[in-house]
Amino acid sequence: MGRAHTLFTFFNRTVLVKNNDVDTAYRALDRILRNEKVMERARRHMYYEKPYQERNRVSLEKCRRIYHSEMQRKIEFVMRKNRVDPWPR
Amino acid sequence: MLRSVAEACQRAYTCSCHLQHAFASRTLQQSMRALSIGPRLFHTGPSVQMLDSKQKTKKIVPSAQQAEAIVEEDLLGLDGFTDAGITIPTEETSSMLIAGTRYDELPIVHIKSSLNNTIIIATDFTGKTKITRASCGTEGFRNVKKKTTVAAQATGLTIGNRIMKKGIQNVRVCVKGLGVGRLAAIKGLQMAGVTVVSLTDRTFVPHNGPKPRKARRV
Repeated sequence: MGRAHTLFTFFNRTVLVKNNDVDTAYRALDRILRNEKVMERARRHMYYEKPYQERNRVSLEKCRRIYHSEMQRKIEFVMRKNRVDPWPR
Repeated sequence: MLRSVAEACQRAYTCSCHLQHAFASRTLQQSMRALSIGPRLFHTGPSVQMLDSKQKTKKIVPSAQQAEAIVEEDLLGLDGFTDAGITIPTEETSSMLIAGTRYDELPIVHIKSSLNNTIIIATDFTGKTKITRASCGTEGFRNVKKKTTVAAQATGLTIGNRIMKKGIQNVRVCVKGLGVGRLAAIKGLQMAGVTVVSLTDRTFVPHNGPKPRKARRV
């Protein structure tokens, strides 16, 4: 039991360290955690989030996502160019 | 004509590339020919863009050398490590031998990094038999000094020294919690001479588990 239990814990959220280079491995692990939003969820579960707070947070996230995607689209539209660069290098 | 040559020369001189390549700009070559200047007088870099009349929308495409450079950047990644360089455990990892010991029989160092303290416990591979234990509090750091990286590093160093005395060289490390001592404690272990084989995160993330305590009103 003990070994099986530890085996699974050492499968997820795990990075093997090469040549005792912990910094690189830690950064890799950190990126995995960031992509999966592990820390964010852990931080949110430290204290109880009341339903009204959750609603507000979710709606804010939605608004932010819409705003960012629209702004990105606009910037791409403005930055789009279809002309020959006078100084091709 | 002269003005364009001057500009082109400036561009050539400001190029950061140190390699001697043929300058791709047609204008510059023509100008140089007109002024009878040899190409060796100029420091020239590789062409970054080139004209491609076949393409309908985007006429200027990055040249081959630029494409290579982009690939290298991608390999380097944002955080300075390669995607290929990350080694994630596979099926064979558990039976991998490290200095004669199976990977899943290596001792574990559990680091609990809370907001106020860092507790390190070294156990055997089952995680149940304790080898040694230390915390920033036992190291002599009191009150607010406990939650510093220095204290975490000192604790890691202590644990590293203790397990090195017991003849343990290779360990797996489990990190848990949101505190500041996460990396510092591992650094301390390394300073003592311990070889870290793998890094694992075991922060508790409930899937809507028990109700957390009420929020602080600061």
